[in-house]
Amino acid sequence: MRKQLTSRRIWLGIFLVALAAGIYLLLNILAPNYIPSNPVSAQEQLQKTTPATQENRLYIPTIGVNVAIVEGTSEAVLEKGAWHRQPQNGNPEKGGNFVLSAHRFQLGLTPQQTSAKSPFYHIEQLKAGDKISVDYGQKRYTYEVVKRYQVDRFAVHIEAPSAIAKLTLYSCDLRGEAMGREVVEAKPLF
Amino acid sequence: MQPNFTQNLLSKSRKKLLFGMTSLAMLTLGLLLSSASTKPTQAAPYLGCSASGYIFKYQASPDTNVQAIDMVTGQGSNAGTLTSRNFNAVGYNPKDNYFYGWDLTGSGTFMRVKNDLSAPESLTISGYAGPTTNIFSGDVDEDGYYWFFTVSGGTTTWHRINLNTATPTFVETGTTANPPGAEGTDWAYLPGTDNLYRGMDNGTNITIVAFNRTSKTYSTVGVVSNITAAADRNMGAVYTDPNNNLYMSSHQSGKLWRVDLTDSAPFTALELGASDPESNDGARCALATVPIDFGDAPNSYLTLIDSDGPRHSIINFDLNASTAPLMLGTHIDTEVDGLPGVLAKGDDADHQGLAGSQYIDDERGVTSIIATPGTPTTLAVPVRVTNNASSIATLAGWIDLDSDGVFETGERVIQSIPASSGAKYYKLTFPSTTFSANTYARFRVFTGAVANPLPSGSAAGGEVEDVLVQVGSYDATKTADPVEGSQVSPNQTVTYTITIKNTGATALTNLKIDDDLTNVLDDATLGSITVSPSVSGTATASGNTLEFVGDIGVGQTTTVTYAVKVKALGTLGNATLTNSITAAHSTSCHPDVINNAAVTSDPDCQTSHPISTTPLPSTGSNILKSLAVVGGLLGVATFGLFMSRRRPKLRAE
Repeated sequence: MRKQLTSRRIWLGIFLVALAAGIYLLLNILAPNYIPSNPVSAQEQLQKTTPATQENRLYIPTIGVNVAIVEGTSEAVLEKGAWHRQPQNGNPEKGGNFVLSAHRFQLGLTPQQTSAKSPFYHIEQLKAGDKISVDYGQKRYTYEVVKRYQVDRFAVHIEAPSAIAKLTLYSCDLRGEAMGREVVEAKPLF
Repeated sequence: MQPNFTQNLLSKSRKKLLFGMTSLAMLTLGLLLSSASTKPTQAAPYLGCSASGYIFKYQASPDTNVQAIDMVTGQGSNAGTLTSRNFNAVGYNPKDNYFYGWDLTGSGTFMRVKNDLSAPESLTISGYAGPTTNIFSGDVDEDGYYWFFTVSGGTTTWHRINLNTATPTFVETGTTANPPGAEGTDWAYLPGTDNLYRGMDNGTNITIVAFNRTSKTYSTVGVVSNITAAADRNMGAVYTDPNNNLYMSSHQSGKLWRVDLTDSAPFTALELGASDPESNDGARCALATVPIDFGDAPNSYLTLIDSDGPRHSIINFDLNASTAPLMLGTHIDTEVDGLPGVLAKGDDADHQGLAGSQYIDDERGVTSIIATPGTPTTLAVPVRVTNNASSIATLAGWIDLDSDGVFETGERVIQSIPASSGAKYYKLTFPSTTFSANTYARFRVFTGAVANPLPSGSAAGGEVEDVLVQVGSYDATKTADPVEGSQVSPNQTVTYTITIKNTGATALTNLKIDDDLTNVLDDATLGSITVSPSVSGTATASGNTLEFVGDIGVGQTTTVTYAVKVKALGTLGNATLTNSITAAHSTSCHPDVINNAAVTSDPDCQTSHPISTTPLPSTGSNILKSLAVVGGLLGVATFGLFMSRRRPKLRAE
C-alpha cells in the first residue's frame, strides 16, 4: 500500500514538472507574439533618435522590428541583428540591391530572449505600402513595401545586383530553413 | 537534245547580257518573285523499304549477283549474292518486304527472298499449271499481286498470283496482243495508276507502253526520243517511284534512264549514270520515294534537273530526323526537282518531314553571306558539315564573284572533310572582290575525295545548298536579364534578347542567325520565343540551336526574346549558362572558325551566368519541432496525471 502511494506521488511529480515545462516552452515559443523583439519599439526609437547618433539600424514599425544592421561573412552575425548581405550589390547610399536578412525564429532560454532572437518573426504580416526606415551611414532612409513573395532556399538571385535602388528583406519559412524564404521588396522614398 | 546542251551552246557574253537583265528584275521584284515560285509536289514519304533499286545479274552463273542501284546517279554497289539461284522476273512486295520471282535454274521454281537477300525459299503456287521457265518479266502491285508474262509469237500471256495468302495462289491468266517493238524484258508497276510499264525498243528509240491491270490490254504512252543508241535500248531492268518516274536500265550499256511520266510525250529521258552492263532484271519498292536534295539558285546556275542541276541522292536518309550521315549543316530534306528562285530559299522553306513533324530549316550549313558594298572584300564563309560516314568527303563552295550568272572554276574553294568527323565548321575563304550587287553562292559536299567538283550534275550522297549573297551590313548583339555575369538560382527564369539591326543601305532578306544553346539547355529548359516585330521573321529551336530567319529592312531593328528556366538543384549540368550567337558577316558577331568550331569572341555576342548551388543563409529554426516538444511534454504530463490517479487493484479475496 505504501509502495503504491509512493508511486502515485512520483507520477504526480512527473505530471507537474512536464506540465510546467511544456507550458513554459509554449510561452517561450509564442513569445514573439506578445513580447516585442526590442523593448524600445521601432516607432519610439525613430521618434527619439536621430541617425547621427545611431549605428546602422533597421526599423519596421508595422511588425515591431528595431534591430542593428550588421556586416560579416558568417551566419553567426545573425545573432546580432539584420545581416547586410552582399554589400557590394547595394546600400542606401549607393543604390542597387540593399539586402538584409534576419532570423525568423530562434528559441531562447526565456520568452524575452526568444523574441529578441526572432526579429523577422512577423515578416509575413508586411504588406504593400508599409513603411520601413533604415539608419545607414548616419543618415535615415525610408522605404515603402512593394511586394512580398516566397522563394526556395537556393534562390540567390534575390541578392543579385539591381539597376534600380531597392531594399530586399528575407527570412526563413517558419517551418524551417529547408522550406524556403519569405522575401519582401521595398522601394526607396528618397 | 537535252536542255543543258542547249545552254552550253550559249556564248558567255550572251549569258552575261541575259543575267544583267534578269538581275535588274531581281532587285526590283525580289520578294514578289520569290513567293511566286512554284514548288513541285512530292509524294508522301514512305518508311517501309529502301529507296535503292536492285539489279539481279545472272552472268556469274550459277549464282545471282545483286547490286543496289543509286536512283540518282545510276551507280551500283554490291548488295549480295543468291547462291545457286538464277533469280529473274523479280518484283518487290511492299506488303511483306520480300522480293518475289522465278529461279530459272533447271525446270524453274517460284521463289522469294527477304529484302536483305537472306532466307531464300522456293515456293509452290497453288493452282498454277503454267510455264516455269523463260520468264523474264514480273513485278508486284501495291495490292500484293505478282504479275508476270511470257511472250510467244505476237501474243503476251500474262499471269496474276496472289501473294496475300498463306502460300502463293494462282488467280487468273490471259493473253493480249504484243505491243509494237522488240521485247522489253521487264515491267514495273506504278502505284496509283493501275498500270505496269515497259520500255520497248522501236528500232529508233524507246516506246513506253502500259499494261492495264483492269482491262488487261496494252496502250502506248509515248516515245522517249533521246534514247537512240542500240546498246541503250534493251531495257532489262525497269523501276518506278511514287513521283511518277519510270526508270529503265539497258542490258548492254548498263545505263540508267529516268522518264517523268507526267511530262508530255515525246519524252526526254534523263541519263542518270551506269552500273556494270550485264544481263539483268530489276526491282525496287515502288512505294519508296527516291530521296534527293536539290539546289535553289536561279536556273542560270543550272538548278533544275532538266538543266542537269546539282542533285544528291540522300544515302541512309533518316526521314524521322531529317538527317543523313553526310550533309551540310545538321539537317537535310528531299525535293523532286530544283527550286530556283531569286532569293535562293526554295529549299529552305520546303521541309519534307513526316506528317505533323516540326518545320526544319535544313539549309543552315551556310547561314547568310553579307558583303560590304563598294570595297574589296574577302569573304570567309563558315560552313558546317556533318560527316558521320566512314569515308572522307569533299566540301566545295562557289561564289559568283563576277556576277555573270555562272559558277566558274576560278570561283571555287575546296576543303577535304575527314571521315567520321561529326558536325564541324570549316572556313572557305574566297578571292577578294568588290561587290556592288547581290550575287549567289553554291555549296556542295560530296562523298569521297573529289578532285574536280562541279557545281552541277548528280552525286551519290551529300547535299547542296544555294545562298543569296547580299550586299549590305548589319549588326547583332546579345543581352540577358539578369545581366551577363550575374549569379542565378535553380528554378529562376533568365531572359535573353538578341537585337538585330540593319545598318546598311539595302534591305536584307532570309537573314539567318544561330544561337547555340548547348551550354544552356543542359541546365535549363527553353520557354517561349518572341520575335518583334513578328512580321520580320521567325525563331525556332532546332535541337540545341535557336534559329532566327527573317527579313530586316533598312534601319530596322528586330529583337528575338526568349526565356529559359533554370532546372532544379540535382538536375543541373555544368551549373553555368553560357551561350553565344553567330551572325555571319555582322559587325560584331561574325564567327571565326577555330578548331572546327564557330567562335565569336566579342562580349556583345555572348552571355554567361553561373548557377548557385549554395543555399541562402539559414535564418531560422523549425518552430514546428519546438511545438512538437511541447506536445511531448504535455503528453508526458497527461500520462503522469493518469498514473497518479490510478486506484490500486483489489485482491480477489
